[in-house]
Amino acid sequence: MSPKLPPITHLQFLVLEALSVDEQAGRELRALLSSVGVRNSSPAFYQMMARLEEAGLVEGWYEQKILAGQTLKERRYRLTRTGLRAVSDTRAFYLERLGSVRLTRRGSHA
Amino acid sequence: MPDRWTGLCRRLVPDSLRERAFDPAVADLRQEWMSHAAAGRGVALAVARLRYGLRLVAIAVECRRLAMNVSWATVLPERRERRVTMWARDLRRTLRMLGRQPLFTAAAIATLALGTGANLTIFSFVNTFLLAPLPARDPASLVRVYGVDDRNDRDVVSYPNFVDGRKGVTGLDLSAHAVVSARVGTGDAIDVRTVELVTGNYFRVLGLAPASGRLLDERDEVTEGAHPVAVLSHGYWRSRFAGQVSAIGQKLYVNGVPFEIVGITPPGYRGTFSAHAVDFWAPLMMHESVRPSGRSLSRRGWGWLSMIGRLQPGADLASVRHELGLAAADIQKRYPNSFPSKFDFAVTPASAVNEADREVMTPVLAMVFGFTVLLMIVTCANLAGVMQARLAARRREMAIRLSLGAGRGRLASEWLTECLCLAVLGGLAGLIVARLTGAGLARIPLPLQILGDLSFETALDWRMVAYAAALSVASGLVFGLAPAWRAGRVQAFPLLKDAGGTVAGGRRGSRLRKVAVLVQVTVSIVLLTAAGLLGAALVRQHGLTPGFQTDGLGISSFNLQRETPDVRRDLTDRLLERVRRHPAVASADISTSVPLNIGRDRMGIAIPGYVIPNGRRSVSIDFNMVGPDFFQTLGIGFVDGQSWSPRDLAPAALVVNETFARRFWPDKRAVGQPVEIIGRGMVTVAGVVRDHAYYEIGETPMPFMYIPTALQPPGSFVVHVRTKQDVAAVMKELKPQMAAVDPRLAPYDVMTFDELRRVPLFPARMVMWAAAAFGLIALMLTAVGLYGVVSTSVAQRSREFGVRMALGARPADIQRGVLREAGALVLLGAAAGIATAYFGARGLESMVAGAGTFNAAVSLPIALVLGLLSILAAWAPAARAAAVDPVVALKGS
Repeated sequence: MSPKLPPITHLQFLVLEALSVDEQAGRELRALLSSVGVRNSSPAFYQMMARLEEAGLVEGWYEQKILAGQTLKERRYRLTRTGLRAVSDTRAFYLERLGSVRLTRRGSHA
Repeated sequence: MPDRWTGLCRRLVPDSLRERAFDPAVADLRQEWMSHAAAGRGVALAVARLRYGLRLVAIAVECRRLAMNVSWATVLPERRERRVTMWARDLRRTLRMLGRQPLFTAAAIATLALGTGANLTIFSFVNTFLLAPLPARDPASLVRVYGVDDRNDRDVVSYPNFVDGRKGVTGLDLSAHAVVSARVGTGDAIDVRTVELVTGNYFRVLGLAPASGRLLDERDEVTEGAHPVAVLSHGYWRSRFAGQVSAIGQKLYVNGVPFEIVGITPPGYRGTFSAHAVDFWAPLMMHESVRPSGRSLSRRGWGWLSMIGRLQPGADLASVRHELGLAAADIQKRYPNSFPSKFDFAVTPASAVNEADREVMTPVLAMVFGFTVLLMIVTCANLAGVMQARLAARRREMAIRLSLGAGRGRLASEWLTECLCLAVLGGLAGLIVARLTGAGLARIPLPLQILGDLSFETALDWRMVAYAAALSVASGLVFGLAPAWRAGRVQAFPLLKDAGGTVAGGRRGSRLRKVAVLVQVTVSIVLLTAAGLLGAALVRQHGLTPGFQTDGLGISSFNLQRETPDVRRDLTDRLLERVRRHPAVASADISTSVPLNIGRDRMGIAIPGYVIPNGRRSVSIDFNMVGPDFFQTLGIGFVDGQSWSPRDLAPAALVVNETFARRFWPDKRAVGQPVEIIGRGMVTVAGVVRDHAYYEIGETPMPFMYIPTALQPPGSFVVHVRTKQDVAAVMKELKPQMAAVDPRLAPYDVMTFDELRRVPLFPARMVMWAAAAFGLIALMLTAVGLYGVVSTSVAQRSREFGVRMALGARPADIQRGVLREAGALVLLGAAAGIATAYFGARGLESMVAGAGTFNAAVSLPIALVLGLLSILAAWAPAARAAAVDPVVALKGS
């Protein structure tokens, strides 16, 4: 049975994929997105993260840190089990699609 | 501080996104800010704060957008379109409304037209005289060149020096010019006109093309006296020849010499100095016909030419300065006697204003412009009060609209549109007023002696229009912002519930209107006090006696410089004989200069036995060449000795004043003492006369001497006439009689001595009239403004008056109360005005001596008049307040 169309967008996949390695701060994730050309505003990014949290794909929390004698907080995220499954499902879907594309091409050359 | 901003911005964000998007985004921003703030101080810290604030607002705005789930790409054009439609609707509505209230509209536009018109009129002078560039092609590449010596760093030069400079410079096309006055016309139609003598390349340098015929060129600069041609200015051509092309080829008689008219300059060009309108141009080679001096162009020591040049392609100021420096050094080397210590050329970018004009005009224009700004403040304050009153009257309508869903921003924007519309219409009317006033002022005959060829003509150009537009919008904002702000804050509920107190018409609105009246009263007092102080000082000046009798004294100028000494003597004798024959003339004689006029004649003298300080051989003394009856005519009494008789030529004699006698012979009798006039020989003192004012009243006494005209008949002189009857009438009668003696005798500047005395005070008089006119306008506006304030206040407080009367107050009490309130307002404004005038009066001292001292005797009557006017203005509304029927007033609520 071929895998179903994943319920997440490519942007969300990018974020979840990054989080599958390790937990990360929101700022780090935004930097990652901007390195691949995504110019989302900060509120738009956090709105997306909030949606991922609401879907149970990631878990977010504030972490305290001290900078120049002042206490600051930053939002950090890690992947939930559901999130991990979503990443692997999406990855499998694309690999599968990629494989069938290769086969089709080979077949047409033959 | 960032925390406070964060709290404010967070409130703007919809609830759904505060925690989900705003908080984490701001947490990131704070982290970034901390790293910047820790690093920066001073300016860097301020910039970081500003950036933080802006980004915070951006985050909040973005959150709102996200909540609406729309993209900017669709929002912005829609919003812009909506705004344009709204503006157009507001504009249409405003114009319709203004059209429905023609009286109010006309009054507001007229008020604005007065304020902006006065301001624009003065700005047109500032624009024409001080700001406008040279009316030539590519004025940026034009430069003025001056001669520099020990005494003067911006001097005129002689023709030979100009020619040497022109030859020595390759990067500059250099031309020379000199503005002079000449008698133009024949017979009775002689008048004095402004002529510019120019070199052949002058018009080429300026890059001008003729409107008709040709301009002067190199062929007109070949032989001295051989090029009697003239180019007319467009304005002179239109006024004298009615703009007919047939003028070209006709003759123009300049000092009796026929000049052929060969062309017309382009319209708008009137010379290279903005304040001096030239009537026509003639070749420099014709200088002796236009400005007889008996000198040859080749005289190296005769400096009289200004220079203007155009930088050639590839040349710059530095290279031109270098070349001219070398030329100057060469001149100095070749003519060491003419330039013993220093000679050089100075080069500056060309401006249309010469320094002398700038010095004279800048203080006058600055002061009058300041007055118009004050008038503009009164205008704006007046209209702000009027708009407040309108707002108060329409508050119910606005409350209804508000409760029906109109936005506060819309209401405010409507008010602002109305004010801006009025301001723009007022600005247009002001522009028309300014043009009419400017044209009227240009027709005022100016006294020739001091202002020469100064012209009041102004032009309407893009700077004027831009200034008018900016002034209109600024005034619209000044008088419109406060009512617009208040319109946006109308409270619907209390207004609809109760017709009584409201925000727009309530205490704050009335306070604003009171402040507006206060400002108007203050400014009116300041303007009128300035006029009063100037007027008092002028009257005082006029009342001062110069040391001789000015009543019944008349003068008339003559120029015989083209005639030989014998002809001059003969003509002068015949002229004086004719004048003395007039039955109303007591005595008459000539002199080369007139007391209390500008210009000094000085001569070097040496006194045997008197050691001059600093080892100099001679001392310079001011003098006047006078006829024997001069002292009697002016009423200058002799202290010792006597005047010389008409034919008393041997031994040559001198009359000196008391200061002269005291200084050189403190212990001896001056009469009979010898004096050496340098270059002319020895003379003897024949008499000593009383000191009088020579240049201005109140000057320090100076040594002065009188030389008999019989020694050398002067080429240009003034006939002084002492009359027994009305001097103006006698001078008027004498003018044709003097002209009839001989065609070569053409009297000009025929006037009474009192008229002449007013000439140096002309700028001060102008400033005084401007202050008086603007002050009176301000006074009228103030009275109208006060009437409006009291009327509105009475209308709003009718219920209060009703209650008070129902409780037993008498109508007279009510009326007195209203008048007292208006009086208090005026009193406060008058006190502020007098205080401002007290501290600001010093600025007037530069206009006329004695005007800078505050004089309560001037200010208090003005305040009194203003007070009376205010009572008159407040009387009718106060009477209305007293006539309020308590029953009607209480039922009306």
